[in-house]
This record gives sequence, C-alpha cells and structure tokens, in this order.
Amino acid sequence: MANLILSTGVLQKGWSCVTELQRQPFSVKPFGRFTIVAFSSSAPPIVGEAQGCLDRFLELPDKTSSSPLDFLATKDNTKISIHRPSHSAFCHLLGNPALTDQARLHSEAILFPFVALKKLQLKKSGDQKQTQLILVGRSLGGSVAALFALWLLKNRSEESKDAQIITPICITYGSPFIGDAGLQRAISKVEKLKSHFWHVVGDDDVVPREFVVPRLASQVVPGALAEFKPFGTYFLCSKVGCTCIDHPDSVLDLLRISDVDPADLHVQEYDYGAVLQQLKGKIKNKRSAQPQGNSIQIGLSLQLEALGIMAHQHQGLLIEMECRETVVDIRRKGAQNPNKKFNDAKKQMARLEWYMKRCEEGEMDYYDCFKERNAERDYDVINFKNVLNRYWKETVEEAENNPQTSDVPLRDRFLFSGTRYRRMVEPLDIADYYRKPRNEDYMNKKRASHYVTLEKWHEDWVKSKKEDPKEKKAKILTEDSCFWARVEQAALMVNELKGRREQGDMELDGLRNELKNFEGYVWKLISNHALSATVFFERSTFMKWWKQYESELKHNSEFTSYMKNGDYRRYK
Amino acid sequence: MEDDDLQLVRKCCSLAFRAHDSDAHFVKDNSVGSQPIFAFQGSRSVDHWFYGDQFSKSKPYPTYFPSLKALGSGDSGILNLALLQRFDQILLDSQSRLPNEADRTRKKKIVFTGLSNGGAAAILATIWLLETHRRDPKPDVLCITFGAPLVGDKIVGHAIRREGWSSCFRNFVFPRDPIPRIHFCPRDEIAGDLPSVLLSRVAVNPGGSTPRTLSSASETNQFSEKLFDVVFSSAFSIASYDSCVLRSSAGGGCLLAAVNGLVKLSPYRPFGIFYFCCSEGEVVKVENHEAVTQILFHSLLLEGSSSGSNGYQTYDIKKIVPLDNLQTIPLSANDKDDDVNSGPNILDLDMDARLNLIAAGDMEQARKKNLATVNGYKHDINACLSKLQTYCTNCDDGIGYYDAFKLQQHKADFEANVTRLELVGHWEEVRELVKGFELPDSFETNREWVDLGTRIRVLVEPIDIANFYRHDKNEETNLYKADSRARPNYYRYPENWLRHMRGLVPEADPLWGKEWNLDSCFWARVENMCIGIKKKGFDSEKGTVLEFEKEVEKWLTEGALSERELKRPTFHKWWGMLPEEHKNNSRIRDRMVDEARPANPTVPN
Repeated sequence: MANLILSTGVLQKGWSCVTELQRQPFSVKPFGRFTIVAFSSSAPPIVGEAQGCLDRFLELPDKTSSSPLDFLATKDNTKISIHRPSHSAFCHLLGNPALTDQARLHSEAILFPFVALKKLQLKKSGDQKQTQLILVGRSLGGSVAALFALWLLKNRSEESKDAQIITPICITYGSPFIGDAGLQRAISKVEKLKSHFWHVVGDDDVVPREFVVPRLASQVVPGALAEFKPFGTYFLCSKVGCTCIDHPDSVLDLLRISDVDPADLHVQEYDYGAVLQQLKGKIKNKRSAQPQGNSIQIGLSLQLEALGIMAHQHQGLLIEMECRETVVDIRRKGAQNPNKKFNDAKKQMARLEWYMKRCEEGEMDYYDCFKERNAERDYDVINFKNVLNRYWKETVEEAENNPQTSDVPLRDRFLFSGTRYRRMVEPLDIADYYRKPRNEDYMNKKRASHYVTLEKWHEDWVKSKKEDPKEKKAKILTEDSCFWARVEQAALMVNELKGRREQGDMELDGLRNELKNFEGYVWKLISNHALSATVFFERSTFMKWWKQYESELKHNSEFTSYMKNGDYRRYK
Repeated sequence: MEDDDLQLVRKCCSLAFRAHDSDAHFVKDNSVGSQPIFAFQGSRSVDHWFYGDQFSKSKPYPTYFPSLKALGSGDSGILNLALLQRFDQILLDSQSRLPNEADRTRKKKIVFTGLSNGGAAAILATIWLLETHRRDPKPDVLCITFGAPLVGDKIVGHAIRREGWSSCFRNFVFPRDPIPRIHFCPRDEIAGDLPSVLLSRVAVNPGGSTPRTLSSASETNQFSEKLFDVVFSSAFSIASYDSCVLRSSAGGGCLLAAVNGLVKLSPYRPFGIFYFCCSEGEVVKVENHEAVTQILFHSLLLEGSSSGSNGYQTYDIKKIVPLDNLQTIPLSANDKDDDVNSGPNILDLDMDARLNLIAAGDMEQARKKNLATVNGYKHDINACLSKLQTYCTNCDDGIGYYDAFKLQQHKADFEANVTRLELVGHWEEVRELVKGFELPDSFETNREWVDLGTRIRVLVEPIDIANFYRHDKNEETNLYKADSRARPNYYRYPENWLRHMRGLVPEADPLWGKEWNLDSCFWARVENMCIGIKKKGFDSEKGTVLEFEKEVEKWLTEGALSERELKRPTFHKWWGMLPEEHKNNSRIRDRMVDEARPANPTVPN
C-alpha cells in the first residue's frame, strides 16, 4: 500500500506546496486532475483560550456554542472530542464567529474557504470531471487540513452535490493526533474515509508523537493523554523505507516503539521532502531480508524493517499486530453479503404476504387476524415479524449512524423495500400492542424509532420527486402504516364518548371534534385510494368502530354518507 | 518448446527484423515447412505509438473485434488507438491482400510475427484472424512477437483468455527493454523523448546484413536516462496498484479508489504467454497474466541484461524455464530447497516481487475455488427451476403463470414466489462473482452455465415482471424494460451470454433453440403499452404497438410463442385497449379474432 501511495507522487507535490507557503494562511494550487490546498502551520492568535492540559479537548457538541463539526456526532456516538488549538485554528480560518474571537477575524480569514473553494468546484463541475481536492499541511497545519476535510464532507457546494461526489483527500505531514476515540469511531464508520486521510510520519519527528507518549512533566495528567487516538491511514517513513498502517492500535504501538530520544527533542524540523526523495530512489534497491512465517507475518516484519525496527526485537508486538490483522480479516470474510441478507428478508416478506392473502380469503384483514390470534398460522407470523424487524432495525441503524453526508441515506431499492416492510409489518406491531387491554397511545408510547426514520426518509424521497399521476386503484397495503393505531385510538374515543354521554356529561364537543378529525383523515385516505380494501371487511376493527360511532353520530359528512350508503362496498 | 519451435522462433525473429524496416506492410515467407509466416513492418512515427488522449484509448473499436468485451456487463475493452489505427491501415491498404493471403493459407498453420511496433500489428492481425473465423473451427494460428508494446487493457486480456486464444500469443521480451512497458506511461511524459529513441534503435543496423553484437551497456545508453526513469516509475505505479488489488486487505479497495481519483494509470495489461529473455540464453516462460505484469516491472531491476531491440536478433535461446506453481515460490533466493536455476532466481526477484507472484497464484486458485463453489449451486438452482417449471405447466391450462402469479390467489403462487427468491439469491451471487472477474475467465462461455442462465431467464423473468407490476413498482422507479434500471442485471448477463454464444455456433446448434427466441421481457412490453395507452392515448404508443405486433407474428410463426399466450388476461387487456380501427388492420388480427369475438358471424364457412 505504501508503494502505491508513494508511486502517485502526490506526497512530494503536497510537501512542496506546504514548504512554498510563506505568510499566507493557505494556498490553492491546481495540478490537472487534482488541486492541492495547503494550510499554514502557524497557529492563529488565540484569545481567551485556556492553555491547560485538561482543556486541550473541545467536546462536541459543545453545550455553549455550536461548532461546524457538530454533525460528526451521531446517535450512537454522541461525544467527540477534538484538539482545541487545532479546532480554534480551523474555526478561525472558516471565519466562524461562533467560536473564534470576533475581534480577531482577519479579513484574510473571511476571504478563505467559501469563496475560494466554491469557485474551484464550480469551475470544475462544468467539464464533467471534478478535481480531486487534496488538503495538506504540516504539523498544526495538517490538523487544520484534516478538520477541514471532515467539514467538507457535509459542506459541499451545491453544484458538486449533484455530480458524483469525490471525497477530498487529506495529507498531513508530522501532525499530532487531533481527536479522541469518539472521532476515531466516527471515521471508522465509513470504511472509505479511512483511506482518505494519509498521515505521513517520519521516523524521528517529535511532533506527531506528541500525544503518544507523555513528554513534559506538565502533560502527565492521568487519563488525559490516553485520550488522543489516531485515525486514517498512517504512512510511516524513514530513510530506509516506508510502510502503511491503518489499524489504530498498531499505529499507536508503532509510534510508541519508534519514539524519539528526548535528547533529539530540539532537532530542526523534520524534512519530509528529503526523505520522500530518498524513498523514491530506494525503489530500485532490492529487499533481501529473510523473514519467516506465513504471509501476514512476513508482511508485518517487512513493514517493521522499513522503519528500521528489527522485527526479532519486538516479537510481542509482531504477534499482537498479526492478531489484529487476522481479526480484521476474519471479520471481513465473515461479514454476510448484504445482498444475501436483503434477499432473505424478501423471503420473509413473501411469507407474510401469503399470510395476508389467507386472512383475506377468510374475509378478515390480517391486522385483525393477528390481533385475535385464532389460528396456528397467526403464531407463525410472529417469527417472520421478528426476523424482519431485526433486519430492518439493523439496516436503519447502520445508515443512521454514518455521519450524514448525503441527503438520502438509503439506496433506492432499500428505501422502497423499507417502505413496503413498514406498511406490512408495523400493523402487526400495533396489533400486538392493542391486544393487551388498557394499552393506548401507540404512536407516542410504543412506536419503534426505525419506523419513524423509515417514514421520514420515504417522505423526503416523495418530496424530492415530481408528482406523477398514479393509477386510481386501491392499494394492497394501506399507505399510512399507523392507520390501525389511529383506528384503535378512535375506538377508545368512541367508547369514552359513549360512557360519558351515558353518565350525562354534556361537555363532549372536544371529543366529537377529535373524532371528526379522524373522519376527515379516513376520508382523505379513501379519496386517495390509499387504503387497502380489506379494511372494510365486516368484522374488522375499523367497521366495529364505525358501527359504534354511527350510533353516536349527530352530524352528516361526506364520510358518514359514504359509509351509511354502503358505498364502501364498492371501494377498490 | 520443442526444437522445431525454437527453429521457428529464430526464423520469425530474423524475418521480423527484415520486415521492420521494409517498405511493405508485411513480408511473407513460405520457407518453413507448411507454415507461412507473415512478418509486419515496424514504425518510428510517434503517431503510430501514441494517438489521441494520454493513453491512446480507443472506444469503441472496429466491428471486426466483436469478442473483445466483458460479455455479461457488455463493457467493452480498450485497445491502443495508435496501434489499432495502424493495423486498420494495413488491412485497408493491402487491398485485402492480407485477408486473401490469410484465406489462401487457411488450411495451414499461420504464423504472424513482428518486432516492436510490428509485433503489435502481428497481435492485432492474430486477433483479427481468430475473430473472422469465430464460427469455424479455430484456425491454427501462432503469434510470435519480439519486444512488442501492450495493445489492450484488462478486459481485452480477459476476452482473449475467455475465448481460449491466450496460448496463440508468444511474446519475447528483454527484461530491460522499455518498449513492452512504454504504454504504461502517459503520452505527455514520454512523447518528447520518443522520436530519438525510436530512431536510434533498430536503425543502427539497417538491413540486418551484418549483425553487430552490442554490449548491454552501450545499448542502455541509446535511451535517455529520462525515458528509462519515466518507464520505470510508470511500471512501478502499475505494479504497485495491481499488487494492491491482488493482496487487497480490508481497506485496500477504498485506497485504490482514492488513488484512482488522483492519478490516471494506464489501462494496458499483458495477455498471452511471455518469455523473458535473461542473460546466458535462459528464458523464463510465464503464463499467468497477473504475474507477467509484476515481472514487467520487477525485471526492470535486473542488472546486466539486454535492453535494446537489436538484442533479439543475436539472442540465442538456450533453455526455457517455466515459471509456474506460483503459490509455492520460495520467498528468497537463499532458500535451501530452491533451485538456483528456477524462474524467480534467473529473474533475480526480490521478496516483494515474490510475494506478488504468490498473490497472483493465490488469485488464480481463488478463482478456481469460486468456480467449485458456484458449481455446487447448480443442484439447488436446478431444483428451483424444476419447481417453477411445474408451476408454469400447471398454470398453462388456465390463465398462464404470468397472470396467475400477478393475482397471487393460490398457495402455488406463493410458493413460486419463495422459490423465485431462493433461486435469484443463488444466481445473483454467481453474477456478482462474474462481474468482479472472480471466476475463471472462461466462465461466461461455459455452455452449461449459458444454458442454465438462459433457462432461468426464460422461465423466471416473467415471474419477476409479474411481481414488478403486481406491486406497481413502475410508480416508484421507471418502467421495466430490457435496458432500464428496473430490470435486474441477473437477466441481462445470461441474455448477453446467449447472444455471444450464438455467434460462435452453427444455427443447427441447440443454443439456437426456437423457444429461446421469445423476448423474455415480453410481458413487460405488454404492460408498458397498456400504461402508455392509458396515460397518453393510443397514438403515442402506435409505433411501439406496430413493432410489437410484427414481432409477435414472427414468434408465433417460428413457434417461440404459443397461441395460448394470446388468450391470457393481460394480453387480452392490452388487445382490448387498442382502437377497433387498428385491430381490424392488425397483422395479428386473425390470431386474436376467435377470442375477441367468440362467435364471429362474419367469418365465412
């Protein structure tokens, strides 16, 4: 992998951009297929920032102010901490007054990203091919570049959103870690992201190891240091060779054992340009070591050898690294083909559909069959339902937990299937709920969050699409998956109405109005052909509700006459 | 290689040199037994090396190369436009002399040969000959090249191997000859140095009358150091990239994608058998194409070996050492069990190179393993197919299985749905492997699989279509059409396979079975017309209807479509939507008439 990255020559180009930077905070340089944006490593003046150790972290989302990177925190990964100086420098560049001292807003900072980058992307989206954006920087500049790359995941110019999205690549040279385990998790969720952050670390560069090993006495605060974690792909290099590592624990270990002698602490800045140049020349030399073992072991010892570390002196580390590789390998191979899982889910849907059909033959809606549970097949359904629920909960969660970088989280065919699943299975969950006496208010008390999410995604999709006249035909599945919950609630209301009326309560207008609202809701479904015809079977919960309601009726509406005249029998 | 073959190689080599600087497009020689040899002229014009974009990509290429694509997906390969245009010119200019000559000698073994650019012409001529005789028994043709550049990309190589043509190509290459790697480089980086290189090469020895032996050192000096550097680093990129593909660990795929966005790598890859001519007459023979790519880079490091084209003429093959059993290559030259004269040692490969070769061997093995896995599915697939066949037969007396499935009224319909999903699950897995080139190259022309795929398509696609319109999926996506996204790829692939295979076999072959002529999207077309007529009226669909009726008539006549299908509810619904005036003039009116008007009084007795 290291060879591949080296062979692109991008590392050298990025480095030259960094060194050519002088006073300006950033530079933009086009190179044909890609454009390099280099960030300066000189930190902007920080006002009012505490310099203490514990305060090195900025927690996102911050309670007091919002950060442009808040989107990285997701449902199952709520806290993310970021190196505070890097974050300030980044915000400063972004010209975001929320976090930086307003007074310090230089004009040059405002000039920066929006204008420059938007122009850049606009220009390129015209000739079809988009440029690949490469953000580079050394030391703190690299940290800023990394934060900027993260920010870009969400904040692309409108033009580039339509085109095929090219994730920016970020190259840092000798930058310290910028975040904690939370950031690491956020990145690792998207497999692709890992390979878009390239951290170049030289063998005796102190800066990138800043948070790996406690350096100064003042830094030794228990717990504080251990919290910085690496992410992305590490390109470790020395005059002897180079290697790529992306397992975070292995990165930590390697940085630790290749740590720099404190005596060298004040050596001059590490010259990545010279090392990269040397490495290029090294390709022509042959490697003649004789490691032994299986291919993973050999690969790893070659990696260590490239760093000038003698493999045999670190057998323990080798074994540990090998274990990690093996675990990753096993996990990758063991991961079930998503298409296969999807297909299995479809099979369960087919079984459910057959169940619906059987119920219909008995002039029952499957909702009522499942609620009453008179036949053996009603119990078989529990199984299909559980399998499907598990599959979709997982799928939705997975999509939800990716830092949301695009507007439609699920691909079309998953979205359609998800909608079908919701319409078919949620009534079963509702039936499960209301078959227990005294249960009420499913929508607020019981509804699983993945249904809510699936519904929202579907709505977004519908909104994004031009309305096409649909065929006027009753649906096989009622469009509103919560229809039955609303019917049950209406039935409860009618009961209440009846009870209170019999007790002589005269203040019934509120209840009646609510029931009228429900009428309106049903009427709309009927006129849109959005109900399944099976709703009107004589024994259905809906018809039971109607019979009760009819006896309490004091008004006429389109809906009531539709029902009274028996027009519903012709609904199809 | 037998002595006779060595004799032939020597003969070809001297002919190739003669042809390289001759005035004619090719030189023909009949002196070796019954083998006519065609040697192609070389070229020093830069336009004959690089043309068009950075990598001289051609797309699409001439119709005389119909096989050079990935069959299932239909993705076409890339040929080098500069080399292709030159060959096209040869075909054209020779006023079909080449076709005629080739034709006249058809019964015999034909040999095409060439040096450098002439070698590329020989390769294209060989493919051309093989393509022209696709339906005949495979012509006995051999292609022997010396220091030829690469002509095609990964897909072209895949197609060559799929058709079983790989062994026709014998490429002799010096470890440090830049020409076979020249198309790894982008034009801009190399074009400036190219003319001088091309001129200084073979021209040193015009006519070839007095062979001059050149030391390897002075030969190297003929190329600018810069050119060699560009070739070297381009080859390094390619080898690193491919090695990443071969040894891709967990994140490898994403890194490859990231790198792809940064640098445009050359698409060209080797195919055929490669002979690396090392010092002292030792020749290493490599067949695995992925291994060849790696060696094309790693052998550039081989010290003291010949690099100029002239060397080929004086090179004396003493021994040919096959480099196979890639998986068991020892990791270092000092291994005790290792033979000093083994391929990797002759090529002086380092550990990195050896790891890559092992990975290439592993990959080949993995493909075979996948094939075994997939073959294991055949039983299940066939079981599903026979269940669905029974379903289809049972419905035949009634409304037909298309409409039965759409209505889903009986248990059998439900069971058919589950069977369909089971079958599709397996079949989709097979297709994904095909798509990722994870099966042996010959898979898509394996008759058994083509037959199986076609049976699946013909029997199951109507069910998928019924399912599609049963759920009104057309309201979510677009219509189900042969080329729309709504149609699953697992039907498109076998359809392309059959089309290709039919081009290879005589019409009497079972693959030409009439029952396979019916468009498997038949019912989708009927449904789409109904939707169209309903939405926009008959006039907007008129052209489609007329075209469709024409095809229906053809299918009825040849027996691909049974008249029963015309009585099915969906077909009837369609017929009912057509205006009377159109129906009266319809070419299938007679076939429909009894059903449409059961007791038609106007029909005379």
